[in-house]
Amino acid sequence: MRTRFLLLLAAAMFVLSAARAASAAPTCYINYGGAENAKPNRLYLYFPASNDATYPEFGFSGLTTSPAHKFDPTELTSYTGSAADLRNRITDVVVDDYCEFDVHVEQTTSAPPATFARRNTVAIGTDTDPTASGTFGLAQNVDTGDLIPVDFARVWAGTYQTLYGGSGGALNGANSTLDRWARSIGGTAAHEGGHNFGESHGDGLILGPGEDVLTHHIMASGTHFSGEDRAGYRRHFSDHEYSILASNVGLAIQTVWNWDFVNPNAQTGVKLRISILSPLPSLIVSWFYNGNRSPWINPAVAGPSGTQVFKGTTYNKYTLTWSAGQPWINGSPGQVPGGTQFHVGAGFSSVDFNAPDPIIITDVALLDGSDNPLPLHPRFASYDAGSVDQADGAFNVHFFNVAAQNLIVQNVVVQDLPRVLSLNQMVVGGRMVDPRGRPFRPFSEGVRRLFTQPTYLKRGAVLNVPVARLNQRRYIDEVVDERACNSQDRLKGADTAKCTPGRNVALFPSTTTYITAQVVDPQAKHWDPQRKRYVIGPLASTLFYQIAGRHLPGDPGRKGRGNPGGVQKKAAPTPTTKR
Amino acid sequence: MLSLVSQMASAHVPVAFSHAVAVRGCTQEDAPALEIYLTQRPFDGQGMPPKPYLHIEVAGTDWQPLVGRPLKLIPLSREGVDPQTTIVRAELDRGERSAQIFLAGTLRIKSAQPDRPVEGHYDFGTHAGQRWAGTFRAAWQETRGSGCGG
Repeated sequence: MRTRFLLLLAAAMFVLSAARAASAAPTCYINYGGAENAKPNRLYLYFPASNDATYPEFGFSGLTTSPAHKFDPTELTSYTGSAADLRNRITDVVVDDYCEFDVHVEQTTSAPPATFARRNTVAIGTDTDPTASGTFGLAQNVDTGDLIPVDFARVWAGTYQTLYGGSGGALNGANSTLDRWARSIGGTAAHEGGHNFGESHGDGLILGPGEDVLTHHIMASGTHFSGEDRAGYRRHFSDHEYSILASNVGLAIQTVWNWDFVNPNAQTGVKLRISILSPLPSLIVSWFYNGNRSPWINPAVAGPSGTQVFKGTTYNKYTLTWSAGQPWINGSPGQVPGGTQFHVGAGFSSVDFNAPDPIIITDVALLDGSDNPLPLHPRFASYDAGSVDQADGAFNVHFFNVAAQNLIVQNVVVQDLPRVLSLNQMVVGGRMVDPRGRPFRPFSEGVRRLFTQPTYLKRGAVLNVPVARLNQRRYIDEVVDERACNSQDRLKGADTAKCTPGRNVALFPSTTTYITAQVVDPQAKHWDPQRKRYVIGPLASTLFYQIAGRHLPGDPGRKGRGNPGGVQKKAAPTPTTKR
Repeated sequence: MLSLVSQMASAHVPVAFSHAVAVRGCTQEDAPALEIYLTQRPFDGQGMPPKPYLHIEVAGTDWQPLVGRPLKLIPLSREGVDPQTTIVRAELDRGERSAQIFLAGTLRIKSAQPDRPVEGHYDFGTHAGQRWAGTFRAAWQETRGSGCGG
């Protein structure tokens, strides 16, 4: 199993590096492995090899969407590259935009299959829009809540030639580069796909405090963007757009955790092995920490190797091992000297996208060169992905002490985030930036400090960490569309029984939740590198934990889309109180 | 620019949108459209309008055939709407966090030609009982950006 995974990982890394060699701009940085193809939403970028008269007609106001005109860049007379390069680079742009979401972006030159239940097809032709009005694209719908499973859109790439390909234009002469064409056309494809996933132009107008300018984002109306805005910048979803999209299609990253550990031994550790439990039949590490606080990169999963019952639930047993060395700040590559702090982190995906699955740590061991565990283990607490305490409506993440010692949990900080925080920044002093380095802020009123005083977590005990409450206000909860509220006269005598407002609701408690906590063994035997002897005293580790949000029962658009509410899926473990 | 006067008859907060501007713009699906902004403070049609505001979109590039006809607003979603229906929408941005809503009601255009003031009457509302009605004379403005389709 492990060998197979490593082969797959190596193959994926090769493909990824080859793709990057042909691409100046990075594409998705997360390797989802087998989960990529299992993502529940397809976004087809359809570059027709020839005119396709079977493509659906959904145009209006003179715009016609069928036939889907062929993608033939010789019609883009100021573009000088190859068709394949432009297709690939446009795809890179859209893949990058949708990287963290449960959307598998796929390019095709033939009509996409009707195999997948939830699919969104954007046909990209090199023709100019039929009204010559300067239209770059058209979506079939603004599908609030993404209630319509199959949607279509059209992009007229020839409009870019018409408006910006001429002398002095944003896509003319020295400006006519592969990247600039790809950013332009890819940005429009991402925008039209976004409409079909439920984003409106109004979503593009809402900016958070400190957020970058509207023209760097995707969903505002086209009239906000100049040619240079389109060609000169790789646009991305704003915080608000991101939160809407995460709610409508889901996040592919489920849980991400990093740890600051200390090697409590005098001996040097050359590997780290973490034993974990998961309900999943296979486990995918899609992301890992590769900053300079870690002696290793590329953790490898092995398992499942049997099962274990934990708190009344049967889990599969896995190990996660770090052994591939890299240069780092506190020692030689791949080596952790005695008494030295080090950092590791991993992000997990699964093919069950409805709610984050718990990854429960049962042991952390440093190994010597012969793969034997060193006698003293770094300190840790286990934790789940959270569940609701039906008694009081609290949404708790549960910390478990499965170690042989009593522990202290302290300085817990919970932050509600509008987008995924970079795994590499889940460190002490880390910056609040997304994986591409874009700064953002937690939602206002979205930072809470818990357990500021040391709280004991005795052997075998459970600590409820209340990260949210069911009745708290959602960060986005807006009725945007009084659809179906009487098609005859929407002002008078509405048939309220048929009134199903289009409603956007952000994930609960937020797009992601970021928890940091200190775990301390107050009476740990550990190596003191200054005194060069073992001492008894506090030994601290720090957890950095990010969990994807989830839907609650009753959220719009969940019917028929799997488990409607992750919070109901998992029973709270027992006991749920401190002891 | 301007404008007369939208008078709102609301059971809640009275709001008068006394400024209006018209621009060549886009529908929510990105088809070309006439866009009209009704605002409380002056707005030149560039960038973000001052909140709160009413935003009207009328699909097409030639709006003359629509003059004098009652144009019923459609919802944000076109799902289930007769494909022959003229796409006309109005939304209210209240200026609160994450607050925009597409309205029900009727628009009647008195005159609409590029480079000339756009005039008309509106009667919009929500099922919650809020209602905005009045006339407008919107100054025509050129937009900074390019065509439809982000």
